[in-house]
Amino acid sequence: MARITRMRRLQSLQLAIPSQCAAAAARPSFAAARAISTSSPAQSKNTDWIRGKLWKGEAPGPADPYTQRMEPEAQSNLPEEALDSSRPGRDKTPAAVRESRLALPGRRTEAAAEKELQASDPTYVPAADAEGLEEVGTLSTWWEQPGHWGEESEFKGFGSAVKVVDKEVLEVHLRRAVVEALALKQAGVFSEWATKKWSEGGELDEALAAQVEVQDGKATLKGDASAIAEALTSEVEEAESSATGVTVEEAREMLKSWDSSWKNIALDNPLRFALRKRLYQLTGVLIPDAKLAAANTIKHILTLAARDPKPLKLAQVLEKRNAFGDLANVTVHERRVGPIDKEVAVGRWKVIEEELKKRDLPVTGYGDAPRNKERDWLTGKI
Amino acid sequence: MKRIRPSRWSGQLLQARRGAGIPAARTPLCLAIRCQSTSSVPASDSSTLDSSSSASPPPPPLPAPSFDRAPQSAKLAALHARLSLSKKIPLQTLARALVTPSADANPNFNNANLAYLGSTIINFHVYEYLVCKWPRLPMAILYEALRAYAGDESLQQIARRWGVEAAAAPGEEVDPGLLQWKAGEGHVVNTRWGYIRSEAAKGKAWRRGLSSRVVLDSDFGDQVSSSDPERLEYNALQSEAFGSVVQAVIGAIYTHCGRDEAKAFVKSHILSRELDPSKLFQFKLPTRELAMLCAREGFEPPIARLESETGRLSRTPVYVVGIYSGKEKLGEGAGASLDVARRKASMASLKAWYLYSPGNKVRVPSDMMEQGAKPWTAPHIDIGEII
Repeated sequence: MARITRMRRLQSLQLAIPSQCAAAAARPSFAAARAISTSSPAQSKNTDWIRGKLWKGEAPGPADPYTQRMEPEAQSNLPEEALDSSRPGRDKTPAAVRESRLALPGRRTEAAAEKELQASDPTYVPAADAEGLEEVGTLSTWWEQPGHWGEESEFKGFGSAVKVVDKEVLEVHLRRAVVEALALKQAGVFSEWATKKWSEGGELDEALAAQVEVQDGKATLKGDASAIAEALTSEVEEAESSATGVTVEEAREMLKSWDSSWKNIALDNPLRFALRKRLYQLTGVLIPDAKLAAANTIKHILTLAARDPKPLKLAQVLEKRNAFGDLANVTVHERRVGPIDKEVAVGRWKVIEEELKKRDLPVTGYGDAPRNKERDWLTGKI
Repeated sequence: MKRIRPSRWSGQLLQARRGAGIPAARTPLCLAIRCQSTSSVPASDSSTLDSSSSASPPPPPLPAPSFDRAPQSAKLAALHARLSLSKKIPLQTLARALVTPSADANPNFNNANLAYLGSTIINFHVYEYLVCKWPRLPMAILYEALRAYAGDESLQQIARRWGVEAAAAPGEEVDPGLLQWKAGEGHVVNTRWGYIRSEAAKGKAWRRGLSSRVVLDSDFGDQVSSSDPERLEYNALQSEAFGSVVQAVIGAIYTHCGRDEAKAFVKSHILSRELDPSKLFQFKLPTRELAMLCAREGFEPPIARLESETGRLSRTPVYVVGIYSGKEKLGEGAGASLDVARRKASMASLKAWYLYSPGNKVRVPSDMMEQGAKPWTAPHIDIGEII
C-alpha cells in the first residue's frame, strides 16, 4: 500500500511525458519527423542537473548524443578517372574471369514485365504452362552439366603422372635426357630450348642408340643428333600415350651395355636445370632446388633422384621370412586388429550394425553429430 | 609344435558326395546352392549357373563359417593341438564339430551326426565302467551317475576346460574356432533316442517305473516326448550346445582314428573325472530297505545296538548305533537321537552294500576288443534294486 503513495514522487518524469505527447499530436506525421532519439530537446533541461552531478562540473559532449545531425558530405580527393570507374553500370568482372576459357554462367537478365510487353506488342499472350521451355539446371549443378567442365579442363601436370621408382629405369631415362640435351647443344638450339617444353614423343630407342663420348668432363654425341633434336623441337603433339614402358630387366640389360663414363659429364647450370626438368617430365621425379645445386656430375643427379624402395611392413617382413609359417596357431594380421575386427571375429558386429541401422544411427563415426564440444572448451579452442 | 598339413588328410566327412546323404523330404531349398566344398559342385550345373550368376544378386551369407577358412584359424589349430588330436582328424572336421544345429540346420554342415555318434560312444564306455566298477548300484543311481559323467552339464564343463568359446552370434564371418550356437526357438533335439509312451498324455509319473524307464526312455532315463517338445531354457540349450562339441569331437575321433583312440579319449577326458557316488543316494525308509536286503540275501535280520552314548541328559547327546546281522556288524552311525542314529547306521550299511567295488583295475567288456586280450571272466553284477 505504501508503495503506491510513493509513486507520486516521480514528478519530473510525469512532467516530461505529456509535453512530448502534446507535441506529437500537433505534428502532421510522427513518422516523417521522427528523430532517432526519443528524448525531446526540452528534456535536456531536466537532465542537466544529473549530468552535472555525474561529471562534477561542466559535462563534455552534446547533451543528447542520440539525436542525428547532418554530417558534411565527405569530399573525395581522388582523380576523376577513379571516381568514374566506381560508378555503377560499368563491368566490374575481374579480368581473369572475363578472359577465362571456361564456360561461366551468364549474367542475370530480367524479362520485360507483362505490361511493357503488352504495350509494345499487343498480340502478346502470357504463357499458361511451362511447355516448350528450355530446362536449365541450377547453379549448383553448373559444372556437372555437359560442356562446362570437360577433359580439357582437367589438370595435367608437367611431370609424369606415373612415378618411376626403380633406380635402373630412372637411370635409363636420365641417359635419355642427357643425350637429348647434348643433341640440342650440338644442333645449337639448346639455349633457345632450355626453357621450353620438349616434345615428349621422342623415340626412346633413338636417343639411347646414340653414343656419348666423354673427355675431361666434356661430352660429345656420336649418332644422329640432328634427328633427336628435331624430334624434340617438333611442335607435333602426337604421342601423348606413348608411355615409354621400360621394365626393370630391360633397363638392366641397357645399363650393362653402356660405359659408365657418361655419368662423369660435368654439369653447368643450364644443363643442370634442363636435365632436372626433363627428368621430371619423363619420370615424375623432381629433385629439390636446394639439393640440385650440389650436383656437379650426372652421377650426382642420379644419386639425388633415386630413392630407396619403401621399407616393408612388419607383416610383410614376417611373411617373407616365413616366421610363423610352421605355427598354425599364430595368425599375422597385416593391419591393426581394431574393435570392429574383434566384434566381427565373434560375429557380434552384424548384430550391432543391424541395431544401429534400425535406429538410424551412424554405423561408424559420429554421423551428423558435432564433435565433443567440451573438449574444445577444456583445451581453450573456443 | 608341428605344422598340421590339411592337404595330406583325407576327410570322409569333408567330401560331400553328390546325391548322397540327405533324403529329399528333408532337403531345404537352400541346399541346392550351398557349396562349401569345391568337390560338391556338380559339373553339369556350372554352365547353366554361369549365365544366371552374373546378373543375380550375391548369395545370402552362410549361417556358419565356411570350412575353407578352417586351416587359417589359429583358434582351431590351437584347440586341435591342445586336445592332442591325431593328425588324421582334419581341422575342417574339428570346425564342423563346433557348428551346432541351432546355428546351421543343414545336417551336411552341422555336428548333429557326429554328436550323436559321439554320445553313443561316450554313454557306452561310461555305462560299462559304472556297471563293472560299482556292480550293485541301483538303476536310479546308475542313471544319475551316468548323467554326472556324460550329461550335458558335465560335458559343458569339459568343453569349457578345453577352451571352447562361443561366438556371440553365429555367421559366415565368424572365426571357425568358435562354437556356433544361438538360443533359438526352432530347436530340434535330435540326439535323444527312445520310445514315445502311449500313455504320455496322462502325466509324467503315470506308470513310469524303473523297469519301463530302462526299456522305453532315453539313455539317461528321461522321458522322450514328441507331442510336447520341451521348451528348454537358455542354460539348458547352452550346455547342450557345448556338450555337443565334446560328443562331436569324440565322434570325429571314432570316425577318423577308430575305436581304440575314441576309447582312450573318453577314458582320459570323461572317465578321469572324479565322482563320489555315495552322494547320489537318498533313502526314504533305510531300516526297511536294510531288512529286505537281509531277507533277500539270506542274512539274519538286522538288529540295531547301542554301542556308546554320551550326554543323554545334556543338550547335545550323541548316540553311536551299530547294525548287526547275527555276529556281523553291517554298519555304524552316530546321531543326536537314538532313532536318527539307527537310521544313519542303516544308511551306512546300505551304502556299504551298494557301493561295493571289485577294485580300480576292473575289466570292462570293451577291453576284449583289443588285440591279444586275456580271456573274459564274467564280473559279478548285482540285480541292484531292493525295493
